[in-house]
Amino acid sequence: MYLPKKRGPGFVGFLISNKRWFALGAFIVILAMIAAALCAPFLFDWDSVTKINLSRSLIGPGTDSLLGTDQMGRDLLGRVLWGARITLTVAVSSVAIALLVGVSVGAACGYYNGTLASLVMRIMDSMIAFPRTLVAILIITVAGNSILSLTLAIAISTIPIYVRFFAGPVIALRNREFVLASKSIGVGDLRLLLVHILPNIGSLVIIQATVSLAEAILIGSGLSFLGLGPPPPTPEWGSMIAESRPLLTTHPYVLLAPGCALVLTILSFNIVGDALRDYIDPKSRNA
Amino acid sequence: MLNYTLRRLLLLLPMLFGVSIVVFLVMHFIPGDPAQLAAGPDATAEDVAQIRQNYGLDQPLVTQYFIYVKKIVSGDFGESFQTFTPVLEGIARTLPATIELTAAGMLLAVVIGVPLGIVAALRPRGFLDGSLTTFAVLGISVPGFFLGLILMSIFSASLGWLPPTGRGGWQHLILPAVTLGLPYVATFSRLARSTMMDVLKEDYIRTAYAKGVPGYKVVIKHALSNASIPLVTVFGMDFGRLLGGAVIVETVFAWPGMGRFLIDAIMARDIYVVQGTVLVFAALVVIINLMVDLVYGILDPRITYN
Repeated sequence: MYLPKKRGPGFVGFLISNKRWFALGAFIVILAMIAAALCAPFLFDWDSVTKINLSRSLIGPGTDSLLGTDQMGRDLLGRVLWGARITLTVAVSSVAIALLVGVSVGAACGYYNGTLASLVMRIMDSMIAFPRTLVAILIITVAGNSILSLTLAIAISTIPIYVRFFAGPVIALRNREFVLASKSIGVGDLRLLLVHILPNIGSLVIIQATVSLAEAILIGSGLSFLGLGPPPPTPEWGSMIAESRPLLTTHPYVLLAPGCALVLTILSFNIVGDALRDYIDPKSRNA
Repeated sequence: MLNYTLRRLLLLLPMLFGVSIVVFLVMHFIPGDPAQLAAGPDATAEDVAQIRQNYGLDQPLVTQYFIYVKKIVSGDFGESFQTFTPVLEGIARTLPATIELTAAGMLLAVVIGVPLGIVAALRPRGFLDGSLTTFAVLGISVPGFFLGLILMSIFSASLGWLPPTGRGGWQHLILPAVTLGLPYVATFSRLARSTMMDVLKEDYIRTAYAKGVPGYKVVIKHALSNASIPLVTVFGMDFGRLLGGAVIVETVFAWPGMGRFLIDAIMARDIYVVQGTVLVFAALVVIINLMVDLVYGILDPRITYN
């Protein structure tokens, strides 16, 4: 499970040489979404995507506005691009927070494996059994509707899954020869964990993070759809879909623009996550 | 077995106790004064104080919690601030709808997903196997609310075959159940495929074929019954996620279930309704997991409960 030091052809090279065109396409979509997220403020200013301008409402897609405008007269392309910025920010920061806490608690539980650790694991188990969406809903109820509380809600509801997921490999590594050897020459617990054990689950972290990003976007957009995301007029894909529901039959493009961006992004992260697993751990390919 | 069931039912209590503490605390930290909300915007200060006293909201937190637990044990989940009807009545009204929806969604996932997975396992890398892989990734990538709206626009608005919203006959159930169940068709087919592929490599399968047992019988009797344990495990684990998904699907299709009841209560800061519904959701998850544990014993006689 080593992340190879000397990289071979690289991830893109791996995709091309194995003719994984879908995965390559998905990888390009992710790069494009990141580019959109970074460039959104330079292409459309915040006012043009949030300010109501009824004289321009529901202009169809065309030369005037590439994807058309919504019922409030706001440019859809601009809102979708800003949506990418918000969605990716929420997803990346929530996964980062969850990884930081989840990996440390999971590794500590796996490494020490005492009464406290098994108590923590039991609590995590019961939290996993409880619907994640409901946990997130409760957190947002307390913290209020904002990008920050959406991020925290997704992060906190992900932590138990990570603790569970990362404790296992650490338990397996704890009794391996190289760890015992280091221990026998007097290496301390913290150094053992950080230098000898954690680097060995690095590849797992990368794969899990990619798939988690897809899930974070899925849950985040669902919460926003329910009205628990950042308040309007913030251009979040889930809430854009919720707001344009009445236009489903008359002006479907208003709904399809954020919807397709959302599906494409989640799909891409899932496909790239799968490909990344094959790239890092070729043994899993037939699983 | 009976002993084990009783012990597990007893273990249910501390778990619900834990959930009730968490939910109680969460509700306490919600911004806004519930007494003020219950009294309405035009209420005088005396009215608000009166309501606070009536609901016991002027008591210390620990006392409030014990009052709350005492009431729950006696079947009193409190009253809704919005409708002034007992919370239990609301739960009794909405719970059947949620159970109907989740059961239909799960049934769909099992009845469609498992056979698809079995057929794919019998012909690995065949056409069906390949399409199933694509379908599985799509299935977990399309958000339920988006899928629901697309299905609604096709089958209700354009074709007019099915009613778009509400609950009624079986026609009303189709779109919400498909929306809820489709991602799980994907998960179950993938899982059925991989466990079946493992089981089909076993010696006893080869022995069965060698004895001359017909192919379908080997697959169904010898292979499937051994592959079913991981399937049941995932069924139990996914049930919680399915309930979470039901909250969203109920909102899309205006399905009068407990998820919508909860979301509406959250929006109105109706704390007793939120407390009650979350507690019932938790109990449902625990009960399903207990049932899964008991089903293991039926599927695999080697598993005992001592």
